[in-house]
Amino acid sequence: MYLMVSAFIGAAAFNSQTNLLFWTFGLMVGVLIVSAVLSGFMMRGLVLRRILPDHGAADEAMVLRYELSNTNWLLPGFGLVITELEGVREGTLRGKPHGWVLHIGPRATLQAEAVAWPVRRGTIHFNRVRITSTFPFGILRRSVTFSQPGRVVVYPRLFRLRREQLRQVRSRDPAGSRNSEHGGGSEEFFGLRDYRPGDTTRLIDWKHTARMGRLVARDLTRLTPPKLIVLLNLRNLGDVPRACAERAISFAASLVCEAHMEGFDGGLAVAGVMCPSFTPHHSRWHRTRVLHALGDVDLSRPQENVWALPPSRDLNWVVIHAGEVDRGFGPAGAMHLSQAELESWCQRPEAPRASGALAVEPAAGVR
Amino acid sequence: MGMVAWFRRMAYAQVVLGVIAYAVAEQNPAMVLAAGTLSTLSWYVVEGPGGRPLPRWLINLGVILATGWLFFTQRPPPRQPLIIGLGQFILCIQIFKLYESKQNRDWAQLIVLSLMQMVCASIISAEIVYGILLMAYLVVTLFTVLLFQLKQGYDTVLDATAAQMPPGRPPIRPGSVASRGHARQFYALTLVTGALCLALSAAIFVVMPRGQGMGMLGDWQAPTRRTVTGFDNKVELGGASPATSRLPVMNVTLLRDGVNIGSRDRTFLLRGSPLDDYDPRSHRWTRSRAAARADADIFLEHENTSLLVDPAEFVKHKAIRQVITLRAQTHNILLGIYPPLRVETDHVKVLSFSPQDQLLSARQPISGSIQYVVESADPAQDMTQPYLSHWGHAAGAALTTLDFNWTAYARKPVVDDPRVRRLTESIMKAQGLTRDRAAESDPADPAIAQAVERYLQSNLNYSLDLPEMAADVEPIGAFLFEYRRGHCEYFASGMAAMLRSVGVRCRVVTGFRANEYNAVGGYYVVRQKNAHAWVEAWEDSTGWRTYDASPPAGLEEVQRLSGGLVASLRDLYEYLEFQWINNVITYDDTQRASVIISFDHNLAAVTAAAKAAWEFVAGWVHGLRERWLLGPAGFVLVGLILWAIVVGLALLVRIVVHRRRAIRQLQLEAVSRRDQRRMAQHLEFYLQMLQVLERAGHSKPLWQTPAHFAASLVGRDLRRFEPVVSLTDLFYEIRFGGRPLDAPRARRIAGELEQLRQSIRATASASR
Repeated sequence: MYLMVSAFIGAAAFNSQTNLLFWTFGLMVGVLIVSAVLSGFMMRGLVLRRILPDHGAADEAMVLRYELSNTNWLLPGFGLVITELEGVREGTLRGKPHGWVLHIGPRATLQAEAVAWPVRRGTIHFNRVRITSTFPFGILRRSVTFSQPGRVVVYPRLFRLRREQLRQVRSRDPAGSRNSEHGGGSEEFFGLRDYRPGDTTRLIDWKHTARMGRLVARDLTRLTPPKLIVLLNLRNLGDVPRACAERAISFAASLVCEAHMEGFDGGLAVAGVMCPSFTPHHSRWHRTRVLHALGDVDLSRPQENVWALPPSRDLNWVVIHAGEVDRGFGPAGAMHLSQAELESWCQRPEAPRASGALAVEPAAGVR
Repeated sequence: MGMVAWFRRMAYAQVVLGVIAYAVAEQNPAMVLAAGTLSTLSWYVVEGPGGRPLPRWLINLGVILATGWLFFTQRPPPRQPLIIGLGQFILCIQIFKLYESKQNRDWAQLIVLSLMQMVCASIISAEIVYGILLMAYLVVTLFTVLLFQLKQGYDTVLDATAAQMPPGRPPIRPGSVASRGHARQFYALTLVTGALCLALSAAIFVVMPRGQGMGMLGDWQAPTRRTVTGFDNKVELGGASPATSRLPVMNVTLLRDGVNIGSRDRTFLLRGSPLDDYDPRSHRWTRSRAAARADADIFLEHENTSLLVDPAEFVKHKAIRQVITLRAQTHNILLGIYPPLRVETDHVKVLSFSPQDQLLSARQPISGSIQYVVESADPAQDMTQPYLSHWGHAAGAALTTLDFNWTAYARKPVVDDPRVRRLTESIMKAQGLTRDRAAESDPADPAIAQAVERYLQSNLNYSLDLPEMAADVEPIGAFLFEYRRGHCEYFASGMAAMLRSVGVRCRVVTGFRANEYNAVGGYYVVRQKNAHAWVEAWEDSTGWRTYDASPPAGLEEVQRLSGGLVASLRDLYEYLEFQWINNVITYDDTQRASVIISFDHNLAAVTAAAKAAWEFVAGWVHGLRERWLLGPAGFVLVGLILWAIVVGLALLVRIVVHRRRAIRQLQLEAVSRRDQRRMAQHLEFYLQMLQVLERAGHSKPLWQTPAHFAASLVGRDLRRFEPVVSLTDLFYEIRFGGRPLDAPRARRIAGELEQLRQSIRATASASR
């Protein structure tokens, strides 16, 4: 379009021999040349490095960071648009993430960011990222593409569950919290042992000390929190719609998160697909590992009967079934839930949503 | 976002400035006022506090009405030139669009419309005021376009982000990511970009060939808004007084042998149209049809110059060269000092010249500003004119001779009033002159003309304030015998009437009297109020001679020049305007050739200087060889020494660059200059550590602190990156703790660095 207008003005200048038209034509050609040279040099000096987050969560904003350097000695960069080229095609992201840099000075490095919205759990593979600019005049669009392979695991969509439902799981265990089989706590008498430097003197059992002729201390028991293991039943995936399976995974992940917040030792076992099992434990790192494993579950490769957990006492089992509830599956006394019960477990939003597939409240960001 | 937010203001400023500039180009004060007010008001209506755009349907209605108006004004016969109609149409559309709600597409349309309007304005205007507005407009437009690109980028990202958002959630606005000093660098880059564009456009403007392809898309002339009323190709007595407007008509530079001979003391007449025929009924002097039939075409398509006289005559006369920049319409007549010998122009392809009355005119209408050169014989020195015979010696193959009645030419009595002849004869008698009325010429004719000229100058008064004359009153007789006052046209007509009453061949001539010399620019400014009329009388030995019967004192009074500071400022302004017109508006192939030749000469001078420098070096080497008797080995030695010097200099530069880079990487810019050097030396180990890590793929971003960087590495692999923690601690001790880099620390640093290298090497080999 610009070339056409320039050519038209040039022809008008030659036809009329009007000098100001000649000047206008010269200006248009000059603008074109300056635009080509300036944008070419501007883009040539840019170096980009993507800094991917450790993980993302479905339907939550995931911030991609970019370390952008300008190796030009003199020329700054203006109006740079950073676009991720991969990830969208796989259907894992809702639209291409775009970042914007107003200005990067010569020999400067800065951090830009783009917000990505993963639509589902899984692994997002990033590769090419492109920087585009139409600066200075918008006549030419210059871009430079960097190939930087990287992957981010997206956790399943997480929902905030109702506390009373979780208490329901706990109330199934008549003993509640139990004393540990190991000493080192501060609750009840567990046994006697030799005094160790650093032990408080109040623990010294003077009677036994006198009897034994050496310092003997009392060892107290530790109170262990309740344990919850989520067993995810993904067997017979061929008969279950994928959405139901995903919903079951989300249910399991939400349950693990809620259990962590409620002080449970949480564990996980998945039946029907390849996924590591986790013995109950209570730590943020452990919870992250569990979510990571759930995010990485590949539903396209089912494997029968590959789940296993070491036998343990005092476990609360919750079995979540992707398909129909099979009460014969899992340990005896386990609580069986269907993925369809997720809604009844979720906290209701305060006001109904105008739109949205699920009328449930997503959990706050997983840290 | 701050810079992007400026865009709206700049875009408004651009459009308002463009609208005002267009109205100025049209020289329409009402339009300046109306368009300027409406466009400025739109900011308060749309963007001001509580501002609301007008509904879209109202804007569309306005656009439809403007389109209808354009078609209405352009239907045959068009009421105004197309380019002006188009300019006004674009102006209306812009004002309508200013009042609507604007998306990026609308902004782009506004910017493009504004640019198109300025193209229209550039075609119709050659005023310096417009030129100044154009320059201001270009600067504002440059900023606007650049800011618009930033805004578009931002909006692209905003739209993409909004499209990604889950339904019902507000879009996340992209943050403003910018380095330090972005506003300053934006200004600088904008100015550099503008300067580069301007330089390139100037270069293209200069080198583009002129005169080629004219009219290839059809005959089209740029319209102009200005008409001249001061000069006319006829004289109508009893009509309006001559114009007293100060509007400039032309600029004239007088040269003799390449030297400017203009001065405040020198006045001269620029001859326009010779009028030999007087109609007593309409009281009008015109050019007779017989004279017009003798016009012949001179084609300047292949050469831009043509002699108007025989080459021998041209050589014989001492020529005054007049470089004339015509700034207003003069009825296609090219004015110049009488008698013209040669004409030169790139702007007119076909001229018309009559060897009978020496009228020089353009065949095509002259629009806007053009430049031409006339070389004339100096009337003060060359008494013998080149047109001795009544057919003259006009050059050019196209000049033809016609059956022309020379006997009757310019001899017909003007008025049938015996008082006129009696008066003339009484003047002649007082001077002792006699003449046979029937004779075509007489040696006494010049003396008679001079006597009549003196009589009129001495006995009648010059005045522009004339009483109302009835239609049946003969104005020449009334002027000579009743009112005894009048302006130049009456004096010229009266003199012509008196001379013809005794048989002297004479004619009235209209043109300009140039008396205003601009000392700043070294040229004369000829204004509308300088329009003048005088008489040319024939004399056999010398040809046509000029007589000006108007009293010089009265004429000077009317054309008096103002002085003082205002006059100096006016001279300066007019000089700028003259330069604008001379170098831009009327830039032609001759100027282009001159610029290119000048560039060629300068290039040749530079080449010659380079050659001289090379010869000097070669001579010096030769002298060295002769003085020191250097053989090939000696030259090798000298070469080695020179090479060592060059390498030494390169190393020096490298060290300086390396140190500066170290200072920047260690962020020591804020430290005093003396400490910078010391710390850069002491902390070099940290840079070495960063290099080791970088080679292993662990770059430290500039924004990350050393402690944070070390922590992030240890978080990944404690055992592998343990030395990094130690080295970072040492870095903090020396950089901020004021600890010296003593021998134990230096040993520790060397050890930790070695350990880090080994651990990274071990990991690399393990991964292989």
